[in-house]
Amino acid sequence: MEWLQNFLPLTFDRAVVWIGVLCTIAIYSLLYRENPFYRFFEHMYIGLAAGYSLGPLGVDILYRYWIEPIWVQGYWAWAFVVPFGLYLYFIYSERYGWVSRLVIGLLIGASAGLFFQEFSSRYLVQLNSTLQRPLWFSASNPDLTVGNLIQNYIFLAILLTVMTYFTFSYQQKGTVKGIATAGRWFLMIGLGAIFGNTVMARMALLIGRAYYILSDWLLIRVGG
Amino acid sequence: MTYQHAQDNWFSAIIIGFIALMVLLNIFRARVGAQLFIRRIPGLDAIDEAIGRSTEMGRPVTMIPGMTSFGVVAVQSLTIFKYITKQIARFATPMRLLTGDATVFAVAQEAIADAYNESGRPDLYDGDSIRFLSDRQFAFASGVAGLIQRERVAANFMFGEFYAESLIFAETGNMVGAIQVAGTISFTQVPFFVAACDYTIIGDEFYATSAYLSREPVLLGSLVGQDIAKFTFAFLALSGATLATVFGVDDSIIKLLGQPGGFDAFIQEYFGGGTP
Repeated sequence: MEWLQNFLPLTFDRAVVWIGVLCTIAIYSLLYRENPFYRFFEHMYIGLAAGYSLGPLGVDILYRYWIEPIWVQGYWAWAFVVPFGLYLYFIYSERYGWVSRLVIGLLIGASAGLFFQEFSSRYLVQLNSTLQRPLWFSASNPDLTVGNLIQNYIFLAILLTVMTYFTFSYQQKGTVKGIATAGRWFLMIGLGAIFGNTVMARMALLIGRAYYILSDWLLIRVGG
Repeated sequence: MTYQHAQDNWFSAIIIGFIALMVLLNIFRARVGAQLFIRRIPGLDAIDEAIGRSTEMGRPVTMIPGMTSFGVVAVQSLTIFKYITKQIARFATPMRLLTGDATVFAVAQEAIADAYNESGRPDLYDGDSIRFLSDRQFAFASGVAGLIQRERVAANFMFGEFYAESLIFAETGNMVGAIQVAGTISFTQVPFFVAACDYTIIGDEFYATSAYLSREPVLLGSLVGQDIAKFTFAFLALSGATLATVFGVDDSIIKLLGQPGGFDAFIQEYFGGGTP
């Protein structure tokens, strides 16, 4: 009787748990098939997300990056930014549709420009790491071990074969095709490792949900 | 380690300048009519097969650029989706394009309308078939999953940037028996697409696909320029490893590429000059 009293949504905290479980079961019901129960919660989720988005839009973007710089820090030139962004809505005008292309062009240009910096910070650092791999024993690298040497050769072999696979401006035939195929195999081994790792992380999420249903909702003691 | 300005690492700046030059040079070559060769990606056949199947079954095709925000990747995705739309327009196969980014949504409407116009079937364009669902990751995922199930789509194309929602899309498509072709530059999501889709276009193949399909001089030239960059990187990796063996991994010639101040240290050591 006490269990039933604790189980039923008679308090606000219990009602929250019940709603959480209802949402969880509704979303998981898609695994069986699409159904009105799922559909209702799907639409509710999308509606809530749209409403929720207004908060971060107002506080984290409009206030932080527009209103605060203008009113608090005195960067009045920022006042022109939002009207410029609103030009995007001209996309719906047949006559003035070209105005929206100004915003689109700016976005594309900024995206391409930022990529230069990203490229330098991400790939050239990796290239430098690749250079620090001696290929045989020499007096200049006294700390080099057989294990390191084998690792360096494996690394370089994978790097060069995978890079060959990702070249497109010539027909891959004969030996080059063999090298590219080896690259593809190496790639698949790497992807398999990522897959296994992420599946374990997803299982942890599933266990978290199962724990919520069993422990928080059904009040069953799980584990220690 | 991040580089904000060229002076943080001059050698990196020179390498990037060289790559940019190769890309521009090849774009110029493509524009003046040089026939730049791009090998056919096997995934392209899968795209045509999937379109054929959805036409036979009379069920819709879904195209998903994911949560891709508007930028270079989104434009490449829309280029591929335009090609798919032109193909399905010939058979009046219904389509749905589902996005999680408001700007991509606006541009996609125009791109898809253009595709129908170019294929001579502007009457088939339906603005409602392009939908912005939500900019919240899992709300978007639940919306896509629900739509794929409700409409029992026959073919599902996912091209763009994807995150943890990728497997939800791919598994839902798999559940309804859709032929699925995916392509992403998000390397951590590729394994899920490989596991759940019929064909996966991996990493740079994504850029090659859009270049091959559109034959746009800018895309073709960029791809050939990038190939030259890859050969340069391979050469630098091999020659650098050889130099590291001979001179040691701490030598300034090794620090030259990718380390702050590496260029100045190299000039100082080998030529006794350079900026302080």
